[in-house]
Amino acid sequence: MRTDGSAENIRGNATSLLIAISVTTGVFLVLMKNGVPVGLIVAELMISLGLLFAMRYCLRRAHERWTGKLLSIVIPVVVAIPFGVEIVSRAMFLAGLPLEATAMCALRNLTFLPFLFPKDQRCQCAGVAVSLLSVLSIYLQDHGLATSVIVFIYSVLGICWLIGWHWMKFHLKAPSRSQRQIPRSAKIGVVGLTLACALFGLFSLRATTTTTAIAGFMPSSGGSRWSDPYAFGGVGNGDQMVEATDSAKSIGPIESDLFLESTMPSIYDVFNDLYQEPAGKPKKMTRAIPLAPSDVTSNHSRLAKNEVASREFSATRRKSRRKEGGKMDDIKSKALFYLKGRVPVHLKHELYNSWDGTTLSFRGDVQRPELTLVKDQRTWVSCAARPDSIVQDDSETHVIRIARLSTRRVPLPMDCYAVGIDKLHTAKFFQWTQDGVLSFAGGEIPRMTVLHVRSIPPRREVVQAVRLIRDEPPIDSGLDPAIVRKLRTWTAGAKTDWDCVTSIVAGIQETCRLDPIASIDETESDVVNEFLLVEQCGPSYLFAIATARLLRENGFRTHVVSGFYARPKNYDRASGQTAVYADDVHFWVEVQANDQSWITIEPSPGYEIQHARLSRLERLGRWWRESLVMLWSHKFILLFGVSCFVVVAIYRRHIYVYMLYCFWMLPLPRTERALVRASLTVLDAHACLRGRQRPIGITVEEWLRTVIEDSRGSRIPVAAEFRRLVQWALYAGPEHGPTSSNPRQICHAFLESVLPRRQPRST
Amino acid sequence: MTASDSTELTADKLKMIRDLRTTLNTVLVGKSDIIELVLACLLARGHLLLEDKPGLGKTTLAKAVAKAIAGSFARIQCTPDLMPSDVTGFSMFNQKTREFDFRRGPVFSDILLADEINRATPRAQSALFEAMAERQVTVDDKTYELPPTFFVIATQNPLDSHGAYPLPQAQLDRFAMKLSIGYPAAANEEEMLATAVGNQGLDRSDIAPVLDINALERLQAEVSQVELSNGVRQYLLALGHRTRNDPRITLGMSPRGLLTWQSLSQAHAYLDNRSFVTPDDIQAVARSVLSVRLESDSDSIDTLVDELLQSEPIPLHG
Repeated sequence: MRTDGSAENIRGNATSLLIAISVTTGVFLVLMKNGVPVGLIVAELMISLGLLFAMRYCLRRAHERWTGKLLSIVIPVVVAIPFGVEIVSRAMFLAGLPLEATAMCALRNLTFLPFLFPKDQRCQCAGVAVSLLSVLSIYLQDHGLATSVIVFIYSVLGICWLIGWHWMKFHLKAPSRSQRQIPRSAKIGVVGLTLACALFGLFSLRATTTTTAIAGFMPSSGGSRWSDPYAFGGVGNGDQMVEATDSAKSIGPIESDLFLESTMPSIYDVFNDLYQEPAGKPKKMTRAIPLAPSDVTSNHSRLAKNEVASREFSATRRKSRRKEGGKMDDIKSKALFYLKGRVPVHLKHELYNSWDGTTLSFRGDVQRPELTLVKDQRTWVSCAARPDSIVQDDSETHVIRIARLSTRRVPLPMDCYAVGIDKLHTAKFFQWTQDGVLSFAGGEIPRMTVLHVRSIPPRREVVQAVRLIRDEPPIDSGLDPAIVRKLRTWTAGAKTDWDCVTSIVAGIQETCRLDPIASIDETESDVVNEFLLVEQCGPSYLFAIATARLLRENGFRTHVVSGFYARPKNYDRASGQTAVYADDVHFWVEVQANDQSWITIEPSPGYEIQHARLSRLERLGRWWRESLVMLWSHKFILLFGVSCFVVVAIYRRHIYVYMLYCFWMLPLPRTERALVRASLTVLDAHACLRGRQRPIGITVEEWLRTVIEDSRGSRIPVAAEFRRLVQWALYAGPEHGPTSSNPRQICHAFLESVLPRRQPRST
Repeated sequence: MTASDSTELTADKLKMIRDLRTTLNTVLVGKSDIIELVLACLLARGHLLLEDKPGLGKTTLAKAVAKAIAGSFARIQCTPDLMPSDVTGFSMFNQKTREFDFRRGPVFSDILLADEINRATPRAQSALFEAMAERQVTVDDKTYELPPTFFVIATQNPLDSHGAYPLPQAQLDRFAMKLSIGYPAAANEEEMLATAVGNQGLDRSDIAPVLDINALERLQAEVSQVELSNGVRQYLLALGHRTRNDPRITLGMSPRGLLTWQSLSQAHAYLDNRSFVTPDDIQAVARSVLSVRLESDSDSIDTLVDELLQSEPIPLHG
């Protein structure tokens, strides 16, 4: 399969390089259309191409017989480049490509194999084959005009390459003086295939273009003429909406009878689904009474309820098996709402400041600033104490799109100071709940409502330096003495208020384990004692309640907050949104600072609080500090690893050669000829590592002579016999016996003599 | 080599070759590599062209080879007035028998020394064509077989081109190799001078024979049996094809040249006491084989041959 650098091979390489370039362009377009930042794509591309060029430079003098071995190294490296770039990008810039995009980049890099090994035709074939896979992947993801043009160019190049490849095969077998001319049938084939590709590309540009192109030849979905505006896509999807009255199959975000019987879950349904139903409440006993269909429609009367007041949350739950999906169902999005913006983020929904041993509730009132309108590029409803500035340096903007959540309370990030809805220019739509949470005045938040919220996450160092309000501890809080003793131990070394809070949180996290489906027995009178001393595992609300109790024991003003935790793992790169599901319901704690603000404390292990965005330099510094801390915490393993690495680096040649030598020494069933050849392989590796690789035109005999001179000169007693053996093993026919009676002994003696105990550095 | 090998060099054959090598080395001191190639040429049944400056031992070497193998020796001193019949022989009318008798020329010998061959006219040079290629001579419609060990050693002087007729390519291709002896090393030259003191008039080529013609014939037959593996043969072919495809080379290797190269490689392997050819054997004779056949307008043939050998990958299998 190998030839010298003939003109056909060069042309084939040029074509395969053009193919690789077209694939690269296609990948670039697809990634850009999928919303990946252009800077990121360009950076990844530049790094990949740079490394490919560097590899090409390094491999330019590699002998053809090394191609197989080099390929086994080069292919993993080429594939690993985008993943390596991805890791660095995520670590340093907190940005990266999605996995499928990285895989696509890896495939793209593989199409450059012919560029790396221009003389190897296997690489040329492999590169073109991988390019076909890449182009199929590109075309499956995007059918745009630009992509179609790229696919068309690729097809033409591919046809040219195939014909060239076929032609080259013929040429190799042709007499040297024969006149070379591409047959007429091949020329016609090229033109025909190109035309077919062009037609395919033309038809696949857009659906409408295809419809136009094949008008009259294909049955249409409706209408008598292709220009009929009603006939394009069917009901609800055309230029003009079709009004649905009877047997409607499509839905829209409008108020109609279709939406009266909503199945959207409320927050309390979510609590019950996640933590089971509260204990101690009588079950509703209902009786089914058959009614005529005409009577059902008139039963839409409902009881009045106060949705402004806060609700209770019971910390004791029924112990029962959690609901699991029993049967296969259509896959639909189960997200309660979607969030656009930086995650993780805690979204406050309800607040509890009272605890009776089993139930959380809210008593009293909180300070509620006046809701005012502030105009910026959009109209904002300010819910901050000082509504003078909407755009601030450290502010974060999140966009919340309600999907299945049925609530009137707006799930807002902590330290939120403004809320906005498109085309809403009045603050009357919002009101404060009793516990100080912003809610919709007119009822539940309509589905698909998009809320823009602005908040200022606190800076980490500011939080750590803040002074907290600390009252006199209660005389008898009802805590078990064992817990009190533990509390004293945890807070013994705390110098500041913040140290005290963090040591309590750390103590609880060390003692207890997070288990979302665990619950406290409903007969227990004090959940915190049971949680901290007996069960020592439970969901986030138990962590939050226990933390709040212990903080209050130390005199801190605390309340428990329930809401949602937008997890980074739910972030979808393609849409740029984070889905929040029913499982993301979460409880945490807030403590009050001297300036009357509330600071979020996360007591549950595995959750993270969003702090103010760090500058690039700060991120680098933090990464550096955290790296140092991590290294220091694993110092012994690190020291051992570094020592091993240094030893291996210094003695790498010895190790490699002696590994080969040890392999050679293995009593494997092999012929004497194979044994001598294996000895030659060991010597070859040894010489390569010393920079004395055998040039392609130098015979083995001559090269062995230099190897012997380099090592110990003529003092090797078996040198001549070994050289004879090598000549026999390489070139003598099968009917010839070995030139020595004991080849193994001679090879062993020769290798022992040539492989030095201490290898000099290569020059 | 195993005992079953047909081309095994037995002790007496080894001794014969060693003696031949030693004898020739005493005549041409310090030129063991040249002697090795001359022996390879002799065993491969080729013909040798020695090209060098005057006084470097070309004629001495030729005479020594002839004497060492105890064969009949003839010498032609080529001059512009040399006639073809002076080389091949001629028919003369016998008064007694009333018939034409063929008088054999110097070509009917085991070793023919054509001294200063480029001084002879092309007509006279072409008289050697048939003899060298087919080992026969045709005179007056009669073909006369030459001895099987017929070996031509021609010498030519690259200087003094006045009155010289360069050998045509057809003639050159009939030579197996072209050698240049070159000046001896200082130490060897000193030894030569020391030996000459008190031995004025001593003919250095006057040596005792170490081999008879029959033995030489047996050795030549065994050389042709030396094995050439497929990988080595492909290597030889690749080198030959490269000489034809290289744009710098105006005249590449002929198929006859490739056959000669293979025979010389076999002989070289045989002299190294091997029954199979290695790429070393091919490379060892490459320069002398190619220098007589290749033509280039731009680069020197030696440089081209070196590049050729360095660029072609050595096979690592048989």
